[in-house]
Amino acid sequence: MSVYMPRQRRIGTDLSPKEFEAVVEQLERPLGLFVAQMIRSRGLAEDVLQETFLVAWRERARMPAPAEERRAWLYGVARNKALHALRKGRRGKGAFRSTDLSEDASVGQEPNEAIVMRDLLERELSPSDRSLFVLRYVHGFSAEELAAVSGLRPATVRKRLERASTRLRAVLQAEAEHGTSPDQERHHEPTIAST
Amino acid sequence: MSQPSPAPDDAVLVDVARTLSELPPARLTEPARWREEAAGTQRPAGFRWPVRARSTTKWTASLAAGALLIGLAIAVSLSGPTTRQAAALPIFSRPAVDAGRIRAATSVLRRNAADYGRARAIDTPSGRGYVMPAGHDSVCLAVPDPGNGYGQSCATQDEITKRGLLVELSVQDGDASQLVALVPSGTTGARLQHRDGSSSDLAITDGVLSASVQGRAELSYRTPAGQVNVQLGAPIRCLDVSPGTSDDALKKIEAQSGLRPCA
Repeated sequence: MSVYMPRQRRIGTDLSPKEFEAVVEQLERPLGLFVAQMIRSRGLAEDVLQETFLVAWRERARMPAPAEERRAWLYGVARNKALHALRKGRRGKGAFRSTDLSEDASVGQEPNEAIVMRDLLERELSPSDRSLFVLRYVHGFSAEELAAVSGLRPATVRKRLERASTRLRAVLQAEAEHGTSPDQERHHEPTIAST
Repeated sequence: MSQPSPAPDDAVLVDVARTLSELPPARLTEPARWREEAAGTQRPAGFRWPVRARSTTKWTASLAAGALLIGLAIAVSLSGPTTRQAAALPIFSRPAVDAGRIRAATSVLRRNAADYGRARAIDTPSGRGYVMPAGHDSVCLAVPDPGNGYGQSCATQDEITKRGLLVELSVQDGDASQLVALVPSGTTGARLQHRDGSSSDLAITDGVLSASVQGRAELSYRTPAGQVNVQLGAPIRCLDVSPGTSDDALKKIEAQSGLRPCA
């Protein structure tokens, strides 16, 4: 007979500002990368990062103590904040998207290839699927961890990841076959912003 | 925790992940808001009022909360973005940030009673700028000047709804300029027409567009009120002065610049 034990969660209560600072130092860069991969606007991405750590500070009593769980928890906060910011951004739907790299506010700081790839993901995947894809393939979360972060079932996460991967492979392959790189794709007619 | 994990034989996904990793991370710009809050509130995490203390202070707390709400309502009605502003200008759908640190460098905004505490951050070619509500149903735009300080402009919401609000920063003794424009909801077709015949479409993100311009160009877009065309890089013909500037101050400005105020 199996005996099921309740899962113990050690919670990081009473983190001092100094202890929290250490968490920020450790995770600012990866979380900053994640929001930059999700959000085109530099200013908005920075706001999301600010909000993420502000919420984490306020909710630090709920923050798990084990480093890996804490990391996943903070990514979950950042994901929620990013998706919320992108949902709010939909109010501007219908605005034309830039077709010129020089119009990207971050030009000069971001490699063109990376901007093009972010735009491709933005065009082809929903914000939610995009976040799962990025967390899985760039930040190394497993489907089970993503299920915990997103509140979805692991099977649903796997299905969505498979769908997103298939879609991206098809788009990139089509562009390679037709001789058009994602970079050239940007210079086509303006497209309606999808986020 | 698993490692970054596209299947090793899936070169396409490996390439996507590698390329996305090259984006520079967003940074926690100073001041970090969590740190400000931590400095202001040293209550331990999970702090709750003791039950007894809560009951004895219930009325005091209720009165304080009521006064706070009334104060907030008054503050919002005086200088925060009104519902009308928020509907007309999509930038106000973004979260508010505190732009108090630029107060000293933005005299035009101060004169227009700009509300630095309800600013909205925007991307500009020269860094982080701000849009903020101001007195008399106005809105102000501040754009960092690569040289020094900020390019600043304020206008009433009615004016912005018709024409938008634009700041153009020109390099002295050069032909490069930067423009940032705040445009109303429903603005479309933002386009930059260059002298050499080339043109480029401009992105409008939350009602803000920006571009770096070399030489003369014409910016055009269509607001719900009509078509707007702005000549960029043109010699300055008149000065845009704040309403309410005294006659003495106007004369001084004219004498110093050799230009007259715009009609």
